[in-house]
Amino acid sequence: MARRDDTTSHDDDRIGQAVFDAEIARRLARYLRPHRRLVLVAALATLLLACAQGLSPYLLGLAVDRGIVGRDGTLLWWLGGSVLGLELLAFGLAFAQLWLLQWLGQHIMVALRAELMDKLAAQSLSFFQRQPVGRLVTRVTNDVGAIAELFSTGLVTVVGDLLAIAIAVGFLLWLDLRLALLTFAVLPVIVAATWILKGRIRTAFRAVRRRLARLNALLAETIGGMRVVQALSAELPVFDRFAERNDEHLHAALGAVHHNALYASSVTALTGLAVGVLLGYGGERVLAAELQVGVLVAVVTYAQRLYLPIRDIAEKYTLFQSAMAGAERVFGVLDAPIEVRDPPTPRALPEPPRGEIEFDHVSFRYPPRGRPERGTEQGSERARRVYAIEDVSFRVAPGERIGIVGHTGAGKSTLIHLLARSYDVTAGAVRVDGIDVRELPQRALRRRIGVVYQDVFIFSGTVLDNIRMGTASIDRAAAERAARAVGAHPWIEALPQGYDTPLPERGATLSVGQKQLLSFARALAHDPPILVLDEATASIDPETEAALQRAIERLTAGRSSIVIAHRLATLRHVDRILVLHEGRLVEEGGWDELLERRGRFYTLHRLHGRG
Amino acid sequence: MSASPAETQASTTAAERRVGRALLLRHMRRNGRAFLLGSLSLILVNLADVSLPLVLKLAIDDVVLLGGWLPLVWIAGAYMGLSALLATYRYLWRRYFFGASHRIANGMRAELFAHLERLPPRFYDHARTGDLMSRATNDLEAVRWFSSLGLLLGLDTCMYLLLIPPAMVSLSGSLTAWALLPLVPMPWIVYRLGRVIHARYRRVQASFGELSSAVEEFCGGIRVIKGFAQEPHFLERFRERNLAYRDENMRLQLVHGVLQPSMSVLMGLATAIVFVKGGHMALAGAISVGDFVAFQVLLLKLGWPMRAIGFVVNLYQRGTASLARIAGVLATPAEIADGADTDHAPARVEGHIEVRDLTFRYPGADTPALEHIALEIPPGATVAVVGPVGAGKSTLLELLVRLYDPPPETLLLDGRCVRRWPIARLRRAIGYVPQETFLFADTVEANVTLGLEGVGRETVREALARAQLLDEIEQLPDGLDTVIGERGVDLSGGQRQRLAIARAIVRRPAVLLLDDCLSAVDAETEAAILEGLREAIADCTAVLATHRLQVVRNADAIVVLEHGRVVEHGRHEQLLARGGVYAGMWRRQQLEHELEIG
Repeated sequence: MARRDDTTSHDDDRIGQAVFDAEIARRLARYLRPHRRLVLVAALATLLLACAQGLSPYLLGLAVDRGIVGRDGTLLWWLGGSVLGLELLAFGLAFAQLWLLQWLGQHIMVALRAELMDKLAAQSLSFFQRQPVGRLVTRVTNDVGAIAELFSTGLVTVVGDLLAIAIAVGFLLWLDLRLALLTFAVLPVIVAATWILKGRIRTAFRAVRRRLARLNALLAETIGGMRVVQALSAELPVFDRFAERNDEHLHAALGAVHHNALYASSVTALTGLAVGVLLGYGGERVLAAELQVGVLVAVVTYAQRLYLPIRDIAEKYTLFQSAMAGAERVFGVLDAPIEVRDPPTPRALPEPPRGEIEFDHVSFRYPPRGRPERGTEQGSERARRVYAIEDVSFRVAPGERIGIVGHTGAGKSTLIHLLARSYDVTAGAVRVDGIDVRELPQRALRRRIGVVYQDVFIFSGTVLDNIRMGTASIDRAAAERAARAVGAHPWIEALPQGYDTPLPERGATLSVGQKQLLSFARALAHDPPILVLDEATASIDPETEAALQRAIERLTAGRSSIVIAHRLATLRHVDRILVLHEGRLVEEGGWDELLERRGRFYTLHRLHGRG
Repeated sequence: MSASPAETQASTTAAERRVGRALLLRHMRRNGRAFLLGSLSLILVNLADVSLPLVLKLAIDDVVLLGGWLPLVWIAGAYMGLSALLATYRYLWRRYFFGASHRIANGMRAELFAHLERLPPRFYDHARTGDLMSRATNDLEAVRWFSSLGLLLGLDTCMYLLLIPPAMVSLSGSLTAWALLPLVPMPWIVYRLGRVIHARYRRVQASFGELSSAVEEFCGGIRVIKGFAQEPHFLERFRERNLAYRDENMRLQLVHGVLQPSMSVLMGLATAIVFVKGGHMALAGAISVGDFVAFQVLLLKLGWPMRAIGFVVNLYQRGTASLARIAGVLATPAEIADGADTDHAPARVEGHIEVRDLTFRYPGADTPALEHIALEIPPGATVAVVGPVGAGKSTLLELLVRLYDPPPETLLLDGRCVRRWPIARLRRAIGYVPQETFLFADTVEANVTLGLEGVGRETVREALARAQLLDEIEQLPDGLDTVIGERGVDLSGGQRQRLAIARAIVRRPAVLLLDDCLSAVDAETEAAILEGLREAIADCTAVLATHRLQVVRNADAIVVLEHGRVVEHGRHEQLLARGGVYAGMWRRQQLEHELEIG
């Protein structure tokens, strides 16, 4: 949760300008359209509720003037009954209103979330490479939540409060014009106080939230790194850093307390002032027989009721702000262009699949980035070089195994991106089984290509779920066969519930080697005609490494495979090796052939073989 | 040990509750003045607030019955004066109470943090960061609400219950009895529904967690999902949770929808009774018109404390449960700490390490991680500890810096058992670079010094230079002032590890322990870095744990560990000549090395 808080607070910084944006509001209103009738009923309930609640001071006035002063006992029974009846009505209305609006907000939320996820599912991988996961999660969860909040409580509170104000004002004017005007005299002061102080309170709370996020970030960070802190005996300085932020937060919180208290008190004082004036002036007029005492009582009660809704509306200001900001960001995601699209009339891949790959004079340049990214080494290097891939041609025959070597940033991974159509080539063509990948439906293409990455992603769910990945045709026996083939079966069996053992998010309970084997089993179970392996490089123990090596052998046997190698040893068994350098294909051939040629491969080999 | 992951609120022990209460009382006493003044202000507010309807009654009766016998200006003035008083003290109690609660939270957080710093790694082996974080945030917040709003509402409620009924009785006893009748079940309803709301709210939260993680997994694993063309499957998974979250929310709102309006109905019933009964009493002359109006206003005011009782009980329950969870962490003993047998005699650390028949078992483990280790490392020597993963290399280093405690008198630094060294002095004298590096979200310089005082910028640069990182750091946008870590510039694995080394050597330790701390760079770079370090570590004792043999062939001595035992010990050439375990490892690695590419 702390991480999430962090991202939200980050986004919070950007809130602050737009409270209302006509374009966004219009677009949001569109989500109400399917629920028009419901909205109408809810609005009606709100209106009736405000009336029911607005009537009671008037009834009190009547009870005093007609009932008591006018000595009408039966009227008192009627009035008492009306009060009870109105409250019962209000109960029903309030319940209906709340239920309808929650229903509305929740359904809009579900629809928006589904729309967002559908959009994300349609997005190309290139999109995800620029977006931190945390930010997208915030879009789908918190931002949509803020919008729903606007529909389910924000709008109606404001409408209800405005109605309450209107009704109070109406009754005041109707009951006695002069007292009404006297009451309104205080109003601008209260509105001004609300405007100024609420603004400060918002600022203060924002500061509190920001500092709390900073404080919690430090806390989480330090808990994670406590061993280091202790080992370096840095407890005191680290504590000082913490204490500094802890106190920063305290000061911000105290500031917020001050402003909040000041606001509450000023409303109290101003209301008291207004009622005092009404009592003095109104009382004189009652004495002069110009006014009935019950009217005075009703006026005083309405006057006190006038200020609460003003405060409520002010409190909803923040809600509006975050809903607008949330909507802007959500629409930003919904409007993001899909960079890689299926062709209008896709071609079908030949059956049965052959597993042939062809890169035909392929050049590729990463698209310019919308927003500046973190300056990673590769990023800046890429920027310097115009083309990530330049005029690369090669062919992988069905069943052939090829290896790709080259330094970090040479373009190895880019080739894979282009093959699986995460990006589209800038020039040239990539063909699978003789068909340009741009003419194929993306999902059909990807079903043909199994990519195993070095950082394995494990989903929460059972071991079996993680092998099947939701593919219905893979039954338990098939999954087990795949696990056996890559040598994962023994330790899976040893888990408490075997294949049905639930794995936590990101497979936290598995070792690196186990995760890697699991991903191999996953790939093998899906039996793709083309396999791409981004070989593991992490320093794992020799035992596991040997197991992985055997699994790779088993995986690639008789299958068109591309192995991105980090250890040359892996490539001893491939049919052909491609050497990439700065985006170009500089050498190509078998292991011995390349060594004999004494070119770049030979240099690489010598360089790293030097003891 | 109380911060185990499985722990829930329900399993807080009586002892933890006791510690928790003591903790809260201690912190409250520290803010005693604020609580006292806050309570006084609150009582004044209550008095003023209950007096206001009586002033209203006075005004009405004055005009209706007395024909303005009392000047209305006085009454209006009294009303305004009381309101001003009310406003002033309302400001004060808010400041005192809420201010004190923030100070309490601040103080508790600091106490918690200081204690976390004292807890041994053993504690962190089992505790999850998320769980500790939730104690330091959610639980602390619950305690804060209880210590401010809870106490304040409690006092407020008591005062209103003490003041309003007598005020009502002073107007009319029998009417009071009639009017209060419908309000009796209110606290009970609020309390019961409050519990239901709390339970359902937790389910909503849990369901939100599920939803978030579905989205997080979808976005995080998109490469794999798309790779297997399984978007529909995972969208379906999301869809289920999306709907589940909505349904949980609606269940919660159902209770909310009932609670608030039913309070209003009860208040409405009381009001109706006062209309009829009170009205007729006024007709009969038993009470005045002013009494009737004042009664209505007082009744409205009573509605609030009746509701508040239920809230107070909920706040109390949540607060005490959270308090116990915080106390649970504080009650966990700091096992590794200076004690009675700590020898505080000042001594310059020479760096002479002696291991005497050391056998060590991790707490709760069956097999020992180290068995009968005997070793002597003279000051200034460089010793390599090699062996396969799990041989006990890291354990040996961890014991040296006392991340875990070795058995007494088995591990000596300068002839004194490490357990008798003052912890801070011991760790100051030893520069330890663990396998996992850890960066704080701060500048490069701050990450190197980690608060070490009196370190000049030049010294930091020198340390970075020795760790072969200075050139790369200087290429960063702000050099030493570049913010790294989360939200900052990402350093590569190798850069992070070198930074950790710089962090150790800037402390000019007498002993340097490097625990396989260059695994992210290739063998040659590691060798080059260690070569560069040679000068810096010339006069300090260095112990290097690694499984790469090429980088340690020049060490003064090499210790080969296997299954927690020393199987070979000697110089590179000696060990090669012996043709044993080391020689075998060496041959294998040479072979692999020739095939390796960075």
